[in-house]
Amino acid sequence: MSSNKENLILLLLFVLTYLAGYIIGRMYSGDGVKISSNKLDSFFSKGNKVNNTKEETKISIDSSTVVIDLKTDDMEKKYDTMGDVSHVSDNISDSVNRLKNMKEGT
Amino acid sequence: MIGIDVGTSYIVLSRETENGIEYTDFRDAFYIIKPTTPVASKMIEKGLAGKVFIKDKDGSFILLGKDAIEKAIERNDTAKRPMYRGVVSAKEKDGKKVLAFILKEVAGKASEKKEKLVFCVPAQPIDQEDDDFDIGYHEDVIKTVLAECGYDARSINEAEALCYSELEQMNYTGIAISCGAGMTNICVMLNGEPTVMFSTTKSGDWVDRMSSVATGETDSVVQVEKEGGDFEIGMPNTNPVLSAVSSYYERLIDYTTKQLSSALSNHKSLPKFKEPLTIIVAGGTSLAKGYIKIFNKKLLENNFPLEIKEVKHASDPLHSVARGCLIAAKIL
Repeated sequence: MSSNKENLILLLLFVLTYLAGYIIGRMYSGDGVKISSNKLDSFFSKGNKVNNTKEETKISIDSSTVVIDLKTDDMEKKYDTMGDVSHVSDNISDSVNRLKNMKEGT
Repeated sequence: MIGIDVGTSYIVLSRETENGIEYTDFRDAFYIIKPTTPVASKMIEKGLAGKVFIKDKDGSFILLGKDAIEKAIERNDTAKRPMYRGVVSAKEKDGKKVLAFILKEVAGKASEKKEKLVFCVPAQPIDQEDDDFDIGYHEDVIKTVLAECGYDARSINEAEALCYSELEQMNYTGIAISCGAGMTNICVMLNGEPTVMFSTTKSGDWVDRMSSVATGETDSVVQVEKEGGDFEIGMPNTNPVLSAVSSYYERLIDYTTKQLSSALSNHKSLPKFKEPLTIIVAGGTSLAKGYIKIFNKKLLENNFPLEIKEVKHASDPLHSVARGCLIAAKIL
């Protein structure tokens, strides 16, 4: 009887020790940093991100024409005024306000 | 704040003043004279006194604006354009430099640091697949030039600017068509939001070129005769140049309205308008007598897919795009 009791206590102790070890192991890593529940996720998502980038992002080179050669300093001006200037009575503030309201409303 | 309509034929700057708007118009044209000897150079320079011109580092004289067209006609030649079909080309070195010079002169230095400026650009054409047609490059060139003058320059679609200028009474709902020299730009707007924008590459310059081929005159001569305005579209004319211009104008309107009807028929982005639409037409090409009447007639003949309330000219067809750019600059 007593050996049965001892065996039962021993078994319970084994189970408790195992559970305690399991819980501590889950909570702390080897370097003492607390394991967050999403650490695995973030690691894999990092990996996944790299993989996704490879699959989804098309890397392209900007082949638009570069703007160069616009210097006009070497052009000597030989006139006083250029262009026809005219003046009209107009008020655009109503249009501006109405459009502003429309744009803000959308 | 400043608005600029950078067109193939004219550069128009708009600036708000105390009691209105000041516009500066400059003809977008140049003509190069290359002297062969130093003596010829001095004689040419003397002969150009009073005209708008610049002297380049290689000794050549570049006439600008109206004076360029006059000199080209005098020499039985054709003046050049810094832009072709609405955009500046990377291949045209002279044109690019001249456009930069004209823009710097017309806009001047910004009155304050990063002064806001809005300029117009064309939409992608639906009738041309051409590597040389690079709106991005065109936009970059203009932005670079204006940034050198100290402006915070931003672009807007040409026909969208026209909508902002002219559709206020229609609650910013309708269609705006800007008929420039190089292109025709179209914008369909609903309550201030552009829904469809595109362009076609045939406009006033096409009329000039075709009339020039038909009559044997230079493009510049045809352009001056055409702008004299002594003709009506679709009506016979005793002047052979104007007779050709009138005929090609009719073909141009037929082509443009067919393109317009075709592009808008079953367009996925086209809203379902509750009421008939007003169509606003502007630009130098639209100034010919009979343009609006024929445009309206051809729209109906070519099965325009939307109900039209009226087709009418902008209040100031040569300045309305620049006015729209100025309005946009004030909203930004």
